[in-house]
This record gives sequence, C-alpha cells and structure tokens, in this order.
Amino acid sequence: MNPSRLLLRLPFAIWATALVLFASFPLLWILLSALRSPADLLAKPPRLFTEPSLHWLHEVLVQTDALQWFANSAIVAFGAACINMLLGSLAAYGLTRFKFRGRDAITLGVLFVYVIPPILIFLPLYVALDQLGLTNTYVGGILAHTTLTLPFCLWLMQSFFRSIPPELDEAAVMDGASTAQIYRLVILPLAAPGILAVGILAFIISWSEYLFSSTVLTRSEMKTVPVALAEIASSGHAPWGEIMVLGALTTVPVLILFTLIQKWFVQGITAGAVKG
Amino acid sequence: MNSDCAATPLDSDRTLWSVLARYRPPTAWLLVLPALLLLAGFLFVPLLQSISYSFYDASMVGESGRFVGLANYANVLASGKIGAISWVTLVWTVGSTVGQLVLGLLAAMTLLSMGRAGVLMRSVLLLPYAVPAISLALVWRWMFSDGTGILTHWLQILGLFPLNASPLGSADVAIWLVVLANIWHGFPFAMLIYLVALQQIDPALYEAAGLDGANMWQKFRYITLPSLRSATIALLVLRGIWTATSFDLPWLLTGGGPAGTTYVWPIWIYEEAMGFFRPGRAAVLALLLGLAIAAVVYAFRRVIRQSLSH
Repeated sequence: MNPSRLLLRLPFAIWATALVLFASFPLLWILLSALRSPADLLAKPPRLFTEPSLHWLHEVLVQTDALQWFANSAIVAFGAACINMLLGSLAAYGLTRFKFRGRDAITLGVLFVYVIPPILIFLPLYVALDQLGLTNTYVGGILAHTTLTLPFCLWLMQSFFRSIPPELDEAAVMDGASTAQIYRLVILPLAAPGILAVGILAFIISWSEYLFSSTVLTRSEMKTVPVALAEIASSGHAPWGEIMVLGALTTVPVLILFTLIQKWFVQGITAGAVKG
Repeated sequence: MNSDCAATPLDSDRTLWSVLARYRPPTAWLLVLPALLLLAGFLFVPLLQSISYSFYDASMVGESGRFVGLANYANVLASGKIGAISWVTLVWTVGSTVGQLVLGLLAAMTLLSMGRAGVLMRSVLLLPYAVPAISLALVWRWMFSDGTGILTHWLQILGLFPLNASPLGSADVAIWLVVLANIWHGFPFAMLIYLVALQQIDPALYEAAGLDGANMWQKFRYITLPSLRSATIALLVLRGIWTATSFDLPWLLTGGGPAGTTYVWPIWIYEEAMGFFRPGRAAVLALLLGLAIAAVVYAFRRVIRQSLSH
C-alpha cells in the first residue's frame, strides 16, 4: 500500500475502531469493575486497569442469595424456552404447511400481537395470573414470559419452516407418510437447529425480563436476577462491587448464548427483508 | 393426531394439488390452537380487560372496586402531567429512534466496506442488542456516577462537564444519557436491516453513476438514500413504537428523575398501578398509549405488514 492510500485509510480505521470501542466498552467495563478490589473500585479518579481481585465475587456468593436468584431465573427462562419451542414449532408447522380457512387471519393476528407492548398488558396479566393463584410460582413466571416471547418466536419459526422446501413433504406424502410422520421424520430434523435457536432466544429474553417478573414474582425466594439486582441498586448506598459482579454474571451467559445463535437470529430478522 | 391425515404442501402445482387435496382442517387447527389459546388468554383478553378497569376505582391491583364512569379519565386529564410527560416521551422516542437509525446505517456501511473483517466486527457490534436492560442500566449508572464513574471522569478531563457534579443527576444532561444508552442498545437492529437493504442495491447503479462523474456524496445522496426509503420507514415505525412503550431501561436507569426530566409515559403507567395503587388510572394511561400506537400502526399498516411478512 502506498503512503497516500494509507493516509486515506487512516480516518476509516480510526472510525471503525471507535465504533467497536463504543459497542464493547460498557461490556468490558462491567467485567473490569467486577474484578476490582474495594480500594480500586472506589478510587477517585477511577483507573482503567487494575490488579484483578475476586473480592466481590466472593462477597456476592457468601453474603447474598445470588444462587437462589440465578436458579429462579434459569428455571423460568428454561420453562419459557421449552413452551416456546413446543407451541411455536407446532403452530409454525400448521401455519406454513397447511391451507385452511382463517390461516391468513391468524398469521396477520400473530403479527399484530407481536406489536402489542408489554407495558399495556402487565396489569391485567398480573390480575389473570393472580386469579389463577399463579403469582409467585414458577408456572406463573413461565406463562408471563411465554406471553411475551411467543409472538416473536412464532414469527421467527415461520420463516425457518418456510425455508424448508415443500417438495420434501410432497415426496413423503407420495411415499404414504402420515402427517405425524412427516413432521417427525422430515420437518423436525431440518427445522431443529432453527427451533433450538428460537428457544435460546426465548431463554435470553426471559432471563433479561424485568417488568413482568417484578409484578408476578415478588416474594424474596422467587425473585429473578433482574428484580433482585434492581432492588439492590435502588438502596441509598449502592454496593457497586456486588452490583457489577451480579451484572457480569447476568450478562456473560447471555452474550455467549447470543453469539451461538447469531447466525439464526440474523437470518430470521432479515428473512422478512425490508425490500429496497 | 389423525394418522391418515395427509399434509397439503403449499405452492405445489395444480395437478399434484388435486391429488393431494385430502387434507382435513382439524389437523392444522390442532397444531395452531395451543399457541392461539395461550395468546388469547394471556394477551388478548387482558388487553380487553384494561378497558373495563378504566371505569372502576379499585384501590389495589386485582380488586374490582366501584364503577365510577369516566372519573379516571377526568382525573388523568386534569392531573396537569400529560403535557410534560408527553414531551419527555417524544424526545426520548425520537432521539433514540433517529440515533439508532443513523448509527445503524453508518455501522452497516462500515461493515460492508470491510469485506471479510466485517464478519467478525459484525458479531461484536451485535452484542449490545443482547445485553439485558438491567445490566445496561446499571453499568450506565456506574460509568456516569459521581467521582468514581470512568466516563464522568473523562468528560471532566475534557472540560465537557463541571467537577463535583453527576451527569445522570443533572436535569439538562440526564435525558440525553438515557437516549444514548438506548441508542447503544438498539442500533444493532437497525444495522442488520440496513445491511440487507444495502446489499440489495444494484451495483450497476453505482458504476453508471461513476461513469457519469458522480462523487461519493452524490452516489450516497442519489442512489443509496432513496434505495433505503422503505427500510427506513419500517425501522422508524417499529423502533419508534418499541421505544415509546419501553419501560425497563428508563425505569432502571433513572426511574424518571432528576426532576421528572426522564419521566416517560410507561413509567407513569407503572407508578400509577404499582406505586400509587390506582389501577383504574393506570388502565386509562395504558389505553391512551395503546390508542396512539394503534393510530401509528393503522397509518403504517402496509409498511409494517410488508416488512414483517415473509
């Protein structure tokens, strides 16, 4: 590369680096802060790099009910993911592979339900779960989160099912396979990675959710991590060391899972392809 | 499930279609019904129930209360808060959405001009989208905290912010930091949509423009921007609705403070219900917001349908 070209590339390289730093700095900062000794954490002015310390991690594990909160979050998110995968894949199969009266209306309905914001339904949803005696139960939390994620998951799964060539079903029908057999032997193996990816996405959304959890799961032994963390942080003197450790433990699994399913997420989001 | 029931693949040709037309609707309905029931029971019915709550004066969430007609509506309208809260909500929504779109477009163009290195960079730029709102809110509060906050410190070194003051506690600055957090959170979504839209532009257009002597800015202005029109409208509507109704981030980041400068409409709904125990008024506020959203959805129904349907 000759010098003049290099000079031209330099502003671009700086811009690209700035972009990466902008996106990653808050994440790095959670990690760096979580691994700080008490003195380094509250140093004024703050320093960028310090000697790593596991002080706050130890503090969180010994002094708080963190394990209980993480277990609650994991149980609710896992349950929501399973229901999403089950109901979502069945419905997506029905909506993409069968022609029946009302199908287009249902597809459109799911689309508009997807636009209904959680803040508009958290109150009546809470009442409904309360009347069923499901507040402060895992089932209640799972149902609330499934309501939140199912429209989006169903919409994504439809796009994965559509990408499986219908000729495969036709061939199976010619060979005399039943609907159940076609689903189990033809569709499911091909759609499985997509279904699993959607399940992981549902897990991530549920794991991160605050609004529904804060109304439905309020008893201290039922709290999910976001709710417990919000409470700790709202106390007068916020214990930032513990908060950063809990923040890091909440975020890192999500980032790993998201990176695993990224390919599917991108494909699903852009399948509708807003055409230019 | 009925075992003799054949699947009817769509899009098959006519003759095969007639051979295969032995399908029985119940199978399809059996597949779709569980999801539909769940959505109807926990989403659609609750939404309708909100309407009835708005006519009662229950003093606790879940209590039925007395029928009070339009009293809740009158109270909300007379509260004198609508103007200020609508304004904050508008600033928060427009600022976040426009910021996400601009940064998303810049990021998408950067990735496309990087070739293979762009693939790795895309993974990094997508990460903010997955970060839980609680983590984002707390690290933002920590980075902009008074004295110990790294970004507060840097702003002070650069002389952009006075010493011994907290950016998130400052009534002039707080809203923009909340907007910045939301831009950080949401720009990857816009980036993905723009990546696809940019790749769909015919390269021949740029070549032709190059032969006609167009410079980079002219190519961007007269080829790129017009080609992104429908993607931009869809993103504005979808991100706009999402932002106007999002609760987690503003609530966890500032709780509406300082001095109500970040108090958005969804926080108002939540506080009426869970803080002041006036579910009737919360229902009124939810309905008003819902009507505003419905109006936007209706006005842009074709764009939404086009961008979301497969």
